[in-house]
Amino acid sequence: MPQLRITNLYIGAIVSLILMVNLTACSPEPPEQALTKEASQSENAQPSNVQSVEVKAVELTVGGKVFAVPIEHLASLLPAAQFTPFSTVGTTSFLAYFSAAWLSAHVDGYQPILNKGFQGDTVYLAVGEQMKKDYARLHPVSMNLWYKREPYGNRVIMAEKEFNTGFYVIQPIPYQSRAGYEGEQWFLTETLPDETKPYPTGPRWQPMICSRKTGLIEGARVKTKCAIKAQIADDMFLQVDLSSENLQVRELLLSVLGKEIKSWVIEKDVNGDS
Amino acid sequence: MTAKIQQGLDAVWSCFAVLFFLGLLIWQSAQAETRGPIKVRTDNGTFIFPREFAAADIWKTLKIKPFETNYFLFRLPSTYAEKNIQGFAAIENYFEQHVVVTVEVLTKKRQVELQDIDSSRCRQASHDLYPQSVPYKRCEYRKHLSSDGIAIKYHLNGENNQYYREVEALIQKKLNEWKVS
Repeated sequence: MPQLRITNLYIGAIVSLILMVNLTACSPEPPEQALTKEASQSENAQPSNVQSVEVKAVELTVGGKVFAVPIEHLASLLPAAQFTPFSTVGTTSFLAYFSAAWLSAHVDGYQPILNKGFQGDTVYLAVGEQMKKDYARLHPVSMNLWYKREPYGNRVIMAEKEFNTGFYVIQPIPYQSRAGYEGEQWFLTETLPDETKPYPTGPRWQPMICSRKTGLIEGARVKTKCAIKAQIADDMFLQVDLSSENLQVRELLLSVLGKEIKSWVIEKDVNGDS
Repeated sequence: MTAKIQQGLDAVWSCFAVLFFLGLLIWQSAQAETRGPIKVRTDNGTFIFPREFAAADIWKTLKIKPFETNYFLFRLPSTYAEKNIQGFAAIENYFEQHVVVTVEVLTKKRQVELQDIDSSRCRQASHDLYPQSVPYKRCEYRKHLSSDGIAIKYHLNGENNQYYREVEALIQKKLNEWKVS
């Protein structure tokens, strides 16, 4: 029996060793190493000057366009991305990361730290003709809100615009909570919905969805985020989450992000010919 | 019967050993990046600053490795600013007045945009701490530190706005101290 115990200990030690190796493999890599991995693993990613230490950008082919994405904007290099099995690059979309410092430096009025949390975020970018068609479709949630249809039959519109954001607040009743998110959700809009009038389509009426949730690591600090969407080119669309205080500078932020992302597009045939 | 119990105990013991080592490894990996100063490599040299000046004392800060970037954040802790600037209030409206500083090492393109910038812009704001809402005057300052080839941006609240030049001088002093090459 003592022999059996020793064997089990050995098994435990071996399993621990395997776990340690796995953990080491999952830990964030220095940019240079991760860059090589990014370029070699993704079918869409084509390395530019990978042999050089001075590599500053990685080429991604998305939605028929080639983007030279600066490495500091690669969402795949974020520590969190190292632990998730999901790719940050698809055939028609990719995630780009903009640090709180970058956004703060480029956008007047942007606050990089709020409630002790960094206000940098990933930007979801959708590209291509199919995305254009998808984004042209009407948004059922927005239409239901406008026409006061279920599940928003009892929606409440706050009488005055919110001081911090300059938007009207639409509160679904009963309060909505998603599983896993403790906080409620609500909507912000520049103009009031009116179910007696036709749904506006030019431009389309589409409120922002906001949610409040408790930070896991920061010990129950409440965080407020609102998702804003924008079309930055004929066939390029982005979505980014902003905290309510930074919503005040959303137009400038979207303009800066649009200009920056469009500057990554390089005139190159998707087959690789310049 | 006794053998079966013993086998069961052995299985429990080995599971415990695995879980213990796993926990130990996760804890160690979480702690691994928390020691030592923060290092930022920029096109204009490297800046190394102590942890107490990290912009936000959270897990995310500590886990991000030094990127080669021309943009970074740090903060002057409220008590540090109070100690070094006469009149600066560490706490106002019940909130600690840490000074968060955005630093940008200017590339040629950005140099054109931010050359000689020395601006301030104020607005009425309120703290985003649901359900509390405390109004305050918040000003944003931008300054091109031409001798260092960098631009800084920082915010001050309420009465502390009158000390913005002193805060700027303290920021420049710290950056000069932290630049190693």
